[in-house]
Amino acid sequence: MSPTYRDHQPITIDEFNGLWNRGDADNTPLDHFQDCNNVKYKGSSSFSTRDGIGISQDVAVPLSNVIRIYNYPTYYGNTLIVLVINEAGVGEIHHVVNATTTYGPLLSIDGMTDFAFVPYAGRGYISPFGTFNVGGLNIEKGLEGEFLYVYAGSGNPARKAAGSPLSGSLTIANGSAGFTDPGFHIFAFVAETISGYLTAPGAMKSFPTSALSSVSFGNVPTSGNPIITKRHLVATKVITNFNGDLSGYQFFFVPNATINNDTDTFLNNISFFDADLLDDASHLIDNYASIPAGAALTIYHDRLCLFTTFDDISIGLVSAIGEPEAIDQISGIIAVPPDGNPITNGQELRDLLYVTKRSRTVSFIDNNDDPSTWPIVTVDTALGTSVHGIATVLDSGGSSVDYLIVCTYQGITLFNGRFVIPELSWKIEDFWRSLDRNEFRHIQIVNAPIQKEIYVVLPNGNVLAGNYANGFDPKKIRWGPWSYGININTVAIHNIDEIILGANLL
Amino acid sequence: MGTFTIIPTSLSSGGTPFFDLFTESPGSIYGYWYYTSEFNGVKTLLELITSLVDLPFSGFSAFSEGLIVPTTFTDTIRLTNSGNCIFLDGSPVGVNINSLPTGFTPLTASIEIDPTIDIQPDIAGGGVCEYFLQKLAGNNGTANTSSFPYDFNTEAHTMLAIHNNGLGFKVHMVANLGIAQIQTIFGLRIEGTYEIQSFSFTLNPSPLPLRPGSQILVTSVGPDSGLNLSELVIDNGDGTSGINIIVGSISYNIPSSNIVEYTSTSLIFIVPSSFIPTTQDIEVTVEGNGTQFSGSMSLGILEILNEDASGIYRIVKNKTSDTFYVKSAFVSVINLLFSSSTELFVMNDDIFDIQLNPYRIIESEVLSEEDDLFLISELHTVTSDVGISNIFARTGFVGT
Repeated sequence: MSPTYRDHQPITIDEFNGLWNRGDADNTPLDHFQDCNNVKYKGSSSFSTRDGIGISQDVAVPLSNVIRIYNYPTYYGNTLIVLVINEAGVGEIHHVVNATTTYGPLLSIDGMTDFAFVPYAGRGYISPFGTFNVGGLNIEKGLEGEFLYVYAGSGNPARKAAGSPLSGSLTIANGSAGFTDPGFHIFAFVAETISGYLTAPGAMKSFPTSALSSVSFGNVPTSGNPIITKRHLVATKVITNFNGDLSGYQFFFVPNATINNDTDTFLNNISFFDADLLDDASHLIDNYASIPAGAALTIYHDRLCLFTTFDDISIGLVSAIGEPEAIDQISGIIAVPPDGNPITNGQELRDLLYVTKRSRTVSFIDNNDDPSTWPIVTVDTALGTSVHGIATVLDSGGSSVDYLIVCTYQGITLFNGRFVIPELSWKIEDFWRSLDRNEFRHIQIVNAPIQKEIYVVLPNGNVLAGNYANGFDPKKIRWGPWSYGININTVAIHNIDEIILGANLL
Repeated sequence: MGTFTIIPTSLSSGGTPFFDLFTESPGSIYGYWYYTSEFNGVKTLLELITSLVDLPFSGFSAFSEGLIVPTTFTDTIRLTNSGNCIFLDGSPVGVNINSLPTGFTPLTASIEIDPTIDIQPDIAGGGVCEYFLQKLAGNNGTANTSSFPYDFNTEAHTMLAIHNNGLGFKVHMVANLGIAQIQTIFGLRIEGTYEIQSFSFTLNPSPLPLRPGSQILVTSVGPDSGLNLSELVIDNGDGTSGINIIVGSISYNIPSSNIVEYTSTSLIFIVPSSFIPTTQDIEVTVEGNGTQFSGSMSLGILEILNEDASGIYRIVKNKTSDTFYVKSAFVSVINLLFSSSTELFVMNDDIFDIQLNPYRIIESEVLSEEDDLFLISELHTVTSDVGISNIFARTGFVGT
């Protein structure tokens, strides 16, 4: 029992609601801390020392100098994709399958100080990017002369996404008895990669077909690239007045005209009517053969979206539906009005694609037409986020239920179509605003719904933890910084509720 | 072995009255000092002091003349040394006491004047004309002797003491009526010989990875008695010490409260909380208190090539400690400091006995003419379990 003194009433503090770093320290509520470190919140009102960390790799040579970690859900389990900087200063990406199995390096690129990643159908799409100082402002954008890569998940090195069209001198002749619509056609072959990407039509050649004959093809080009698994015949319908431009016509996939390997150089006796040509292949002509690297990746409506290339920091490249490597160089581009700031993130929420800059947020909506026709709506002209500033929830990449948690300059903020004020970090406003805006690229945030905690990696190598077991609102969330004596610079959530931290060297 | 010369830089006492030879009125004063500036035209005391560098073409003269009655003139000039007053091995460029090479140890030292002292006494007239060189004030040498050596058996054997003692020149003249006596000295200075002594240290950090709270043990291992570690500056009076950990351009001062052991042969200090773990080389520097050396010197480099706690970690529920990777552990260093001698320093095999096994020498690298670096590395990859530190919670203001 507390002793009592005349004229003094004992003060009982039986609730601890986390850090309060807002305004004068003398005004800190008694149930809050004016300062704390390495404490976690238990139950509704108590606290203890934070949980310790253990090593995640049980191998002779664990990865060092870890820069970035992403979840990588594969067909066989939850894994991690990890960027490290090796002793030569080269960025290397590794695939950590479990505590004892690590593949890599999958990709080694000099100057890759960060990367964007998105899993899709078991594969992983990797975009190397870096930080560039422009007039004192650090901006993140794709590396110059680098590309989007695709990793199959098997331990083999990642390769450039998309692919070049076939080339060669196709020979065409009438085949055995068959049928075609007689007349002038243009034929070409489309290669299909192991990841399902269809190249632009290549080795185009014209040929006048005969009504009662099939068509046979010789000298069909091979790629020599092991990633090519099939080659498809494409053709135009009958052209009555050929203008001399082989690529200027609409191509269609010819039914049942596929070479299921990359070795055969012939395809004989193909019969088809023009009416059978239904599957359009024209969109492949304008696809990127190599997709430039960007600083952000996301999936929206089964399309891969890549933002902020080296050459243009205000555009996004959007793939065809279900074909993440098929990005049309004309109709696949969406643009945010340029203002000198790069696009930093893209995230789907409630059927909309939200695109952020550091202090701006816009949305696009898929109108079932080409991405370049999608209407843009300005959501907020003051708030945006950084390249890793949208909370990852499990392996979803972003939204939890019906909201996003976004690190803005204002604070850690709920976003449900608009930024909710007051922000979640309202109680630690001064703490948040003391962070260096130019270093916000280091901020990475995950939301662990099972623990009811938010983990934010801060630019100073510490972690800011927010416990929302008492309620997910600015007043009930309990904040506290954690330090580890090592420079934590990345966080991921793994296997539902396992929090993974990555530390680099200084 | 090299030579050094300390040229005094300022007058601290004596020399009164002090006149320019060309402005005084002969006959009006019966005992005084004047500048000997005939050779280089100096007119002021400052110029005179400065010109002392240009030995032996300037100096001090004492004059006494018994014009009316026999006169006695006794006075002492005391000079001090400061700034870039030390000239090594005949170099015309002086250095500061704090900039002497690490391991600088004087072998001999003496107060000197140019032996061609110009004495114009009139002994026949019954006068007296004596001079005395001085180390400390009042510590006079033999009369009329142009060299006054230090005796390191009885006097502090440090360059700092020699430097700070200053030097002096006392004259004692008795002039009879009508007899003038003049004595002029040139090149008042301290001269001596020195060597750069070699010592070696081991730097042992523990636990690893090196982080706030880790301790670094510095052990002096000779030669002879080695550098006395208790002669370091451990408290500057403001909570800081003269011990620093330097990582690249970042310097972490070791608070004096972080020094947990402090003997002549070993020094243990705690890595401060501001330290950020790194794999860069970590240099440990110390400041001497002037007894054995002055200024700052490096105790060596902790080559943290493999001191690597980076990696992938996971938060473990209810775990009460942090477990870190320690990849290939650390690389300890035996740094043979001050080994400018061309003779090969013979390392005592015992030096390895203080290292934990397994270790091996992985590299011997000559960093410079002064430093030979031996790296000793632990070979295994291990983990380190460290209690969670820096835990605190400060409540709101309760009031009074």
